[in-house]
Amino acid sequence: MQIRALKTELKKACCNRMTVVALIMVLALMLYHAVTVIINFNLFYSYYESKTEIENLMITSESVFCHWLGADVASFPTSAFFFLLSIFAVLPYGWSLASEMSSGYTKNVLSRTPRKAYLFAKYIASFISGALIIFIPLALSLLILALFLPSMGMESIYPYGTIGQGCMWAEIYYEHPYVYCVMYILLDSVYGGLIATISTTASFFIKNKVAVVLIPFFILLLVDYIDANFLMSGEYSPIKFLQALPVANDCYGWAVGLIAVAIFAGTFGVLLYEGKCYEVL
Amino acid sequence: MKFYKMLRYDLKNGIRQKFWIYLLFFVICFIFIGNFYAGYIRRSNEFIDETAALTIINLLFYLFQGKEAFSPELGNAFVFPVVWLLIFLLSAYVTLDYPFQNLNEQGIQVITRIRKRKLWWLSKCAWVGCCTILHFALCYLAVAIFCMIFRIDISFQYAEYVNADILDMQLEQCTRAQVIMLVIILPVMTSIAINIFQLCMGFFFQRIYCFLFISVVLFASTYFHTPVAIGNFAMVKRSIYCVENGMRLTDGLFITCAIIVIGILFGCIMIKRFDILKKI
Repeated sequence: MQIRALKTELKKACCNRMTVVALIMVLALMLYHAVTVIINFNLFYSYYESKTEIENLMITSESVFCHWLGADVASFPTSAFFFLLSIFAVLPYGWSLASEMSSGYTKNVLSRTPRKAYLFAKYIASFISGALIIFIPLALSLLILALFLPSMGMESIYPYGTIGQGCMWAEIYYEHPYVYCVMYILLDSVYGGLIATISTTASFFIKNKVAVVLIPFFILLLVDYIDANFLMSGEYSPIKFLQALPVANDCYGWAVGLIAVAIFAGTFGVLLYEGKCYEVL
Repeated sequence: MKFYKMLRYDLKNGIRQKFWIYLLFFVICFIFIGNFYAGYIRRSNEFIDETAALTIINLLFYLFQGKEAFSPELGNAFVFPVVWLLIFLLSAYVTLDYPFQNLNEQGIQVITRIRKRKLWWLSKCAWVGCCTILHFALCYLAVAIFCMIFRIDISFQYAEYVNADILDMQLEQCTRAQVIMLVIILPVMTSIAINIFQLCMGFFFQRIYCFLFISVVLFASTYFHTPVAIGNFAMVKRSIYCVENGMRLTDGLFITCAIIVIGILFGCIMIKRFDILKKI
C-alpha cells in the first residue's frame, strides 16, 4: 500500500503542469547565465591571447569553478536563483497537500488508504520534486560550462574565487574542485527538498495554497535578516550558504548540518503527529 | 453609490482576511528600527562631538535606503538589501490574493447584479491602493511610536553623520519636500504601481506566478541601476541626491503614475472580455 501510494504521488509530482513550468523557468535562468558567461569568456580569451606574454591576466578568474551557476556570486542569475530557490523548490509539488485538502480529494484517499501511507508518500514526493528542481539546473550548468571554460583549480593568492580555511569543505575546494561542486549540488538539492517539505507540513495549518507556497520564502528572508544583523560571525542564512562561494562570511559545516536537521526534525515531526491524529472530516 | 458600497465591502473583508499579516508587518518594522537604533546606541561614543541628534527621518532612510549601485567585479559577491525587499514583497503579498479570489466567490454575484464589470475592477484597484497605503502607514506608525517611546526627534531634519557613518550614504542637503518625496511619496507610489501591475497580470497567470514575477522585478531593482527596474525610484541610495547619475524624483513620480493609470485602463478593457465564470 505504501509503495503504491508513493508511486502515485511521484507520478503526480513529475507529471503536473507546475513542475513543467518551474523546470522551464529554472532552465531558462540557467541558460541565460551560461550564455552570458560563455560570451564573456570568449571576449576575455581573445584579449588574453594577445596580452598573455606581457601581463598576468589571471586566467584562473575564468575557471568554471567560480563561474558555474552555484558559484558565480556576483552575477544576477546566480543571485536571483538562490533568492528564489525557496519558491522554485515548492512550485512543483509542495502545494499539493493544501490543494487536495481544500478540494476534498484527501477525504476520498484517506477512506481507502492508511493515513500514514498517504502522508508519508506526499512528504517523500514533495522532497524529491523540490530536490530535483534544484539539482537539474545546477548540474546542467556545471556540465555545460565545463565544456567551454577552463577547469583550472583556484589559488588562494588571488582576490577572487577564494574561500577561507575555516569554511566548510575548504580543502576539497582547492584539491578536488569537481568533487566540491558535486557535493554542493547535492547539498543544494537536499535543501531544496527540505524547503518543499516545509510547505507540505504547513498545509496542516494553512488552507490558502498561495500562502503555503510562499511561507518558506518569507521564513528564509527573515532568517537572512537575522543572519545579516545578529549573527555576523558566519553564514547561517540558507540563501547565502547554499551558494558555493562565500557571500558575506565564512560558512560552517556544523551550521549547515544543524539547520538541515532542524528543518527535517520539524517537518517530519509534524508529519508523524498528523499521521496519527489528523482528522480529515 | 454602488462603487462606494463595493469598496467599503472590499476594504472590510480584504483587510480582515490579512489582518494578521498587517500586525506581523507592524511588529517586523518595530524590530527593524529597534535593531538600527541599538546599533546607533552602541556607536554613540563615536558621535559625542556631533551636535545634531538622530531623527525619525534617519530611521526612515534606514528602512528605504535600498542598496548602492552594484558593479559585478571579481571577488565582490552581491548581498541584497533584505529590509527593503521585505517591505515591498510583503506589500505585494497582501494585495495578491483577494481580488481574483473574490471574483471566484461573491464577485460573480456582485457583477451580475450591478451589471458593470468596470465598477468591480475599479473597486479592486482602489482596494489595492488603499491596502498599499495602509501597509506603509503601519510602517510609518511603527517608526513614529518607536520615536515617541525612545524620545527620538520627530522632525524633517536629519543627522548627516548618521547617514554617512552608519548608513554609508552621502546625501545632499535636502529640502522638506524632497525628503517627503524620498521616504513617503515615492516608496508608496512605487509599491502601488507594482501592485497594480501584479493585479493586471492576474488576468493571464496564476497568482503565484504573478508574485514570482514581481519578486524578480524587485530583486532586479536591487541589482541593476536602471529606471526600467522601477524599484530603483524607491531607494534613497539610488536617488539623484545620493549618487551623481541617480534616479530623479520627478521621473519616478511620472513613471509610477503612468504605470498606475495604464494598468487601470488596461484592466477596464480586459475585464469586459474576461471569462468570470472560469475558476482562477
